[in-house]
Amino acid sequence: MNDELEQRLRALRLTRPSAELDRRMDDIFRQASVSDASMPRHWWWLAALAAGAVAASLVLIMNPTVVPAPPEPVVYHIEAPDVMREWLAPTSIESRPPPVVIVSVLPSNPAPL
Amino acid sequence: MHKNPAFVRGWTDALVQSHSDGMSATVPETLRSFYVENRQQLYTYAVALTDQREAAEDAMHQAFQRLLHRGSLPEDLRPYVFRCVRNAALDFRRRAGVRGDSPFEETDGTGAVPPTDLIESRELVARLRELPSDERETIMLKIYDQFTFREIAALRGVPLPTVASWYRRGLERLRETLNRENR
Repeated sequence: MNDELEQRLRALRLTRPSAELDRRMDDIFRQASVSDASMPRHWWWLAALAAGAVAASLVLIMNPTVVPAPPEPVVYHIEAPDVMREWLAPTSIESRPPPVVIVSVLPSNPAPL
Repeated sequence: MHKNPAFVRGWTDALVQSHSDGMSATVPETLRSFYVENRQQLYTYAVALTDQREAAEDAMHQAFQRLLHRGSLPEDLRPYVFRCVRNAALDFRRRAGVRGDSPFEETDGTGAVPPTDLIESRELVARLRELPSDERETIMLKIYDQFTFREIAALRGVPLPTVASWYRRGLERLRETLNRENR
């Protein structure tokens, strides 16, 4: 019984959407396509930025900067070949010539003397 | 230069692949093809829900406008779009009230259909309109939009047996009414 009724319902003629609706829909699809077309360009800006950041990170990771060697102490050896005792006497400094001293820079880890 | 070219190549390949995937079908293109293929079914459904032809067209227009603003679409587009049109159509109906347009042609237009058939058709349309809204909507979706009970249940968010029951009761009610009038 229902089959016959279904057939009758299927046979009813349907109204059609207007041409005006098609035109309006066409407008919104066209507008959306135009705005959508600009999306890949924005996307590529972001992709380029991300790729640059990744490349910079990789360069930094794979080529670590050279760490400078820790500072080594400089040892100055000052030697006075003349007798220094007279400099200890409480006399005027201007009355004598300055003492002769030999200054040498030694390696940081000198061999034991 | 990176010491591992395969790694760099993998990255660029992934970027190119993801870009080409994104370009395969845009949201506007997908919706345009869907509209072209389903415009008659969507319109019939929208008129049945709004009871007004202009409101049905406005509802369709509004629903697609909203859909076009979505960033992505689900794989199973059909129930999703029909649900959007349904929501928009019910909004229009609430705002504008009921006018009584039908999704069916009142006249044959060609003159080829015998007047008795036309009278029967008008009677059928009138009785269909008197059905409870759930039953009428289910009949419309099943017969004119070729939805399965499962799809209607997903669209309406109700259990499948409920949909089957709406359909069966709707047809029974329709047949009883027509039989009573023809006696």
